[in-house]
Amino acid sequence: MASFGGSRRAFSDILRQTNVAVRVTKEPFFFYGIACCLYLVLAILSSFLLVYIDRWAKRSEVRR
Amino acid sequence: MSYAEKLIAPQAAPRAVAKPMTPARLTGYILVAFWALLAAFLILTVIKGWDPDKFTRYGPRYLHGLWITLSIVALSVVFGAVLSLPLAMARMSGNRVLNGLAYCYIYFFRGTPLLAQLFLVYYGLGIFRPQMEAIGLWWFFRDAWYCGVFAMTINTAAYQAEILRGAIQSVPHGQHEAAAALGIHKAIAFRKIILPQAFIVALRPYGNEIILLIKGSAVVAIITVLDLMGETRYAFSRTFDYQTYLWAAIFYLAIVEALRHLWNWIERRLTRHLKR
Repeated sequence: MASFGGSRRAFSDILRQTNVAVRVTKEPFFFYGIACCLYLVLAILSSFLLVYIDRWAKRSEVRR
Repeated sequence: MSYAEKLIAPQAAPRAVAKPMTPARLTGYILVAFWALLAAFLILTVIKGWDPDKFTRYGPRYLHGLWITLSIVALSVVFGAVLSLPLAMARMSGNRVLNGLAYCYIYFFRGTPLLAQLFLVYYGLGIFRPQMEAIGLWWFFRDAWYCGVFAMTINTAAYQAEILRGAIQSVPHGQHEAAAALGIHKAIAFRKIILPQAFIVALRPYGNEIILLIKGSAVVAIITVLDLMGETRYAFSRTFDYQTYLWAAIFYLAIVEALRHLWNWIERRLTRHLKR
């Protein structure tokens, strides 16, 4: 598992920390669930930005 | 009515244009030469590093891993397609509850990485072992291969549902109305009129999704499934030869290339009525 994240540090940061937490606490479901929630928050934040860009790009179109 | 009385006299061929060597052209040549050199170097290392002993020892393992990868992807694509149909229907329905549930499902599985979902299924569901033994599901979630197929299925179902919904909603509403005006039953109109048109739109996104899934299937190697990537990691851990990864890349490239040709063929066949 450690070799997987070596060159992709930014990506595996959440999951790597989660792996550490799981190994210590033996509560995989809770911590992997937390990791998924963190990724979801990132997705939601990026979708806010996308909606804003979308609205900006369509500002001249007719709203119905 | 007028028409040409005589043919146009034969003309001399246009003069060949002498292309001047501009800085942009020179940069292009240098870049292409650089990449060609790199490719030649890569091929040379494969030829020089060719080891019949490693080939006989790890070749069959690679083929077995290839088979595992292909079977996992094929199973999860098929099951995901089956699962995506009701999801897409729920997403398009007017029922607020159904729509919201499908939206949450799709948002969750598209918003989190496949690796996290895989860990959640393989390691996370392990804490429900007593409950699952009670209902007789433990044999399924105990096995890494089943867990891999399960995680990839529920992941691709979300993506495929969205592809399907987009394709179905891209068919103009007039097609529904025309079918209704002809007195065609809704189910038959959907199957014979809407779906064939939707499938042309959905074909390329489906191909993308399958290619992404093939590449994403490499993560199941982390949960001890010996797929193509798993066998590669095994061979690398024994030989410390970086070419093991090169061969895995060649295998993955070959799969994707074959799929691309298959998809071109399907598209030609589906759009043959649009050819002139």
